[in-house]
Amino acid sequence: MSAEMNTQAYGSSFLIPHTYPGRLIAAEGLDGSGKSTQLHLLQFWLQAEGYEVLSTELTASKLIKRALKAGKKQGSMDPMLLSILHAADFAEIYERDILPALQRGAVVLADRYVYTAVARDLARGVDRAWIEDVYRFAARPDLGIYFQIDADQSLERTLSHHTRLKYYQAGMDLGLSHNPIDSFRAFQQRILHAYEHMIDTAPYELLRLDAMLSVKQQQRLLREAVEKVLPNE
Amino acid sequence: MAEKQYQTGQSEAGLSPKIASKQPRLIVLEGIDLSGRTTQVQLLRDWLLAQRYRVTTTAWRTSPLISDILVRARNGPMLRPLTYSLLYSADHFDRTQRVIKPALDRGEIVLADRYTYTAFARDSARGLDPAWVQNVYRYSVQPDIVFYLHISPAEAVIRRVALQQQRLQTLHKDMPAGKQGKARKETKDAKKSRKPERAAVTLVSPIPALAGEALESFYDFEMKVYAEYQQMQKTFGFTVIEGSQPIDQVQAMLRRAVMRLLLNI
Repeated sequence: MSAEMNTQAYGSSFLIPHTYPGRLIAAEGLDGSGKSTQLHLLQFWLQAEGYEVLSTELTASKLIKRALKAGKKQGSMDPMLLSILHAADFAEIYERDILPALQRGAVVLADRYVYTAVARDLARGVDRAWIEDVYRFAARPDLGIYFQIDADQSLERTLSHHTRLKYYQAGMDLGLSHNPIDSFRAFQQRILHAYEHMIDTAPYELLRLDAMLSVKQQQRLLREAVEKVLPNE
Repeated sequence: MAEKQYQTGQSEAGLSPKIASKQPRLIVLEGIDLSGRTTQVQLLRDWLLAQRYRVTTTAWRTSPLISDILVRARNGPMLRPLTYSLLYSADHFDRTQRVIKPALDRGEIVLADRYTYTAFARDSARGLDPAWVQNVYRYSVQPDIVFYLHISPAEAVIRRVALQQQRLQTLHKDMPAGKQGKARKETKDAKKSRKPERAAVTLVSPIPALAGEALESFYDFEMKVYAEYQQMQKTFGFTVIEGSQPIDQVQAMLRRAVMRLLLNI
């Protein structure tokens, strides 16, 4: 694992390309951008095509949930500490699930990957150079898609799915507002800004997809992009 | 990493009179398992308190927020090296924010039983990239002095086996036969999370007995960690003290060096 980490050779880019037989497709974007729906459709399609597919999510595991809860109870959680805990959580998923799947030639569909983790950390004010170095162990996706919607659309769609916004989801730990809805909107705005910066600095790592297009249109565009990166039979 | 002085305190010293008279000091003790660190930290602390210094001690894996996760993680299925590394850094970061920095800001002496170097050594021994690990710990306070209690891995194994036998004998002597099996099963970590009233039982059984292959892999790991410490000695300018000497002698050397540091000699 460590031998493959190389932080110098790729200059200004963030994640480093991998050489595993598998393929990694990452979907990033604000809450409610329709990523999960699109990945589900991709998964059915890929499986029908005969690929082994592994789907992963970026959700807090049991491992760190207690600490997150304790932080919420205290009413404050240091953003860097939160970053490290999230990174630990992701590292476990990465080494346990993603890496072996890539090594055995599977297609990994990541519903949120490093870019979202880092965008959230940046939205919490964590130092960019530091957090990018922390996540540098992860392979660069063969295809990274940024599902683009704005903060208001995100809010509208998220509220139609969930009855209540969760504490960390709404960025309540930042103390931006006592109102979860206002806090969520302000937090998403910051995350959006972080995504945009990533696309500006490393455009080849994330492709923009208009997430306001119809489900069908998006899926068609996605499949075209995915086909280009699939291993040749 | 090259900067030797404690930076935050340094810049504030001129402005805030309450810490101007005494520079805050971060003193670190490092060394492989069973090098005597914890004993020496306690003795040093008692001595400094007797000299009327204000002292805060901090030890590896003691952040209330994180130690619990680590205990669970160690008792559950094996976690990956990266995950471990990051969880330990979370522990260190939390203690930095809540214990180390506030104590230094109050002008106290902070004694650290293990510090970032433990992570550097162990994570490298587990195959992680040292540059990556050092980056994770980039925001740590720079210690004013790092004592490295040197013992050889062979000495560590001898001490470990002796300790096991001693604990076992104490167990047989002090405990009713029915309780022995149960107490021995408890790991060091499980013990720590127990309520105080159980302390009498668990005091005598804090280490799992190692034999055969387990002892060999303990030795192998200590060898790797030892090699890392040997290399870091020069890189980070450790003050090396031979840890196989009698406790009093090690302590005397520590006190002399600490006194020189505190008096700016």
